[in-house]
Amino acid sequence: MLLLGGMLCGGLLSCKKLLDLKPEDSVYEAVFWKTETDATSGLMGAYSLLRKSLTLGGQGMSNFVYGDFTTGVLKEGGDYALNFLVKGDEYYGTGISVDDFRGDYIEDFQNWTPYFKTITQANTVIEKVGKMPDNAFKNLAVKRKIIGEALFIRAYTYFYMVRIWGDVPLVLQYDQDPVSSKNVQRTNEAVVLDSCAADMNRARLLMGWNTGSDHAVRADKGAAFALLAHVNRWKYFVTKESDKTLLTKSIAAIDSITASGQYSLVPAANFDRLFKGRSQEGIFEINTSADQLEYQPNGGFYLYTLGQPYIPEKTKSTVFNSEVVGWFFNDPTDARYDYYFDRTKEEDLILTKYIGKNNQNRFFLDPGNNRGGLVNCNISIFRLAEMKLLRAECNELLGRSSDALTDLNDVKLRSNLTGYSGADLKTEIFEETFRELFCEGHSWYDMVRNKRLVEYLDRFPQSRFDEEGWKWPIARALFVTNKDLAQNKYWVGRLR
Amino acid sequence: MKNKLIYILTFFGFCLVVTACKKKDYLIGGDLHDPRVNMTTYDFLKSKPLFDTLTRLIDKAGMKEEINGNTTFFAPTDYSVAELLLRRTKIIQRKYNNENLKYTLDSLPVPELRDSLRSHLFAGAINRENLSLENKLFKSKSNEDYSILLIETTAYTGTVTTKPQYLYLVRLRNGLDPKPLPDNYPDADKDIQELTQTSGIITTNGILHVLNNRHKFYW
Repeated sequence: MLLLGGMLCGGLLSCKKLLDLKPEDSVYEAVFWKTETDATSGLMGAYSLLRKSLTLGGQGMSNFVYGDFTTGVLKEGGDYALNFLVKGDEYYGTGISVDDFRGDYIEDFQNWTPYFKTITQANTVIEKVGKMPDNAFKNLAVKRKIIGEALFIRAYTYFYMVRIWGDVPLVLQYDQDPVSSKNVQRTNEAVVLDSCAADMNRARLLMGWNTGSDHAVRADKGAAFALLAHVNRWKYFVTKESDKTLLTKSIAAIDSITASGQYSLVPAANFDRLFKGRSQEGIFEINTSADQLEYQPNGGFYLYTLGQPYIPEKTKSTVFNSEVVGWFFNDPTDARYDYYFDRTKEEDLILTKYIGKNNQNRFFLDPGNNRGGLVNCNISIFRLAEMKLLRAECNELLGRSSDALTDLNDVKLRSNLTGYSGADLKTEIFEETFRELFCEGHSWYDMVRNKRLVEYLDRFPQSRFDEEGWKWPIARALFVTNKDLAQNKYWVGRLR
Repeated sequence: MKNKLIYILTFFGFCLVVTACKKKDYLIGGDLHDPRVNMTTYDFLKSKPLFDTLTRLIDKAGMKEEINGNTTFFAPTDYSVAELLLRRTKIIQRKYNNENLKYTLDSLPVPELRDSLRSHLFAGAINRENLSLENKLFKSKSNEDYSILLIETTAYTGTVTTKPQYLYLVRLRNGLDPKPLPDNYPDADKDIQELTQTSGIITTNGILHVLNNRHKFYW
């Protein structure tokens, strides 16, 4: 009895002390955001969410689903859901056409929740790091850089969403009390783009040029300028091409990139290193490099489009539309004609752009047995050739043909082609962009902003383009939690 | 009364036991796969709608007897033929700049057709038991070089300890591909590997394999 009483007392007494202790290994707001390591971890969280939001869906390749599966370059999507984008509705015979953005399991791609997770994290980093004392960092430049990168991640995510859905809810503040947060309506796309441009104009002053191991995989001044150029070009498109100064701003941003001397075009002989990533041409990339023990979740697009003999024992399920590919790649002297494709079967080309014609970028998880083959390439977001072609596009729109021609020919010459001398410079720039950025997650947006959808996709009528039917519908699941949302006008009454 | 009830119940129970124990054959689902179809190669193809165009082509080429000899035939499906017609249609439309032109089955010249069918036809029986994971070379009836081999696949996962093997027909171009392939080996010299979607059908006269639907009929 005495012993029991003693134990009871002991229990009571000892507990008192324990209760006062802080949890030792958990992270919560009051103890986080104290050191430079905390700030960097927070930023890395945002990068991680950014990568996740670009690799959504079953095969982990949403960036390419939006950007390439919709462009008619594939004949067979190799997946039940993706075939709605590639072939339209062949299962129910409802006459739903290609690129219709609706169909079974497509709803994953209509949902913007993953992007807002990235934005929430970026907003948190901007707020919290901004309030940290300067002496918590090695030097002020580190703090400024972290804020600049968070601004880039936020602006890029908004830009990405605007290209898919148009108007989106604009949240730029850190939310202290997410439980009682209010519903937010969609903000006009031009206003969202203005916010992106403002962020980049701020961020480019906060960041320097990255060299070494951070080059291209962490945002820097170059990435900020590249995004600024794209944001202005897209705004020119959505504001019905009324304000030509936007094009000048876009050109000025790209001028800053080329004038910096930080980047150069990788020669065609080293295409494998260009597409592997972190080359002298790369401006911003999503890091999925096996060198750092990372690879694309679920294999990703690069692996998905491959099969034997590049990936042993794997049967390829996608088929490119050789006819469409042939419209763009019709010159065998073009270095890309040979490097981008294995042409063993003309009707069933294999995309070797990433893995490399000689398997230079192939990586085996089990190298001893040649098992678990993966493609060891980053996901390219911005690169110098892409910037040059965008500048050519803007210059052409401003009527500055000779400036446009210079950039266009730079890209052509790199691929062993001669300079362009034809009459239709506008079309040539568009087609060169399509060629250069083939299956890099850009083509759909290039077709949209250059108003080429109707011409190059035979099942995309003009009426749909006029009703902005190139925008994706907003997933019905989002209306359940936010009653202030409105559906994109083309899709009202069209979702099933 | 009580006794009667017991008797009745006992009798009822007895009946139940007797009927319940009645021996019946066990129910076995399906049957074992039998690769023998008890038809000639031609008749088998004729019986499947997937090959109705192919059988028309065989008739047109007058090769029914040849296919029904002691042969192994890699049958292309209707999709392969349709693909060929589509491609030829595009070629002549471009050549004569007239989009109303159509290349039809009747447009196929018979000697060319015969050669093509013979490039899918091999003498003797070639089936899984004669093949291995290594290339094995054969000459087709059109006197061209082919390799036929089995390749393991990872397409089936789970509790499989032995990997399934797919049967492939490989058309050699400029000799068998060296292994491993040297750097910058030209695409035009790379062998064309075609997967069979069904393999090892044993007909009364020989062996029938069915090529995948994406196979290009004229190679």
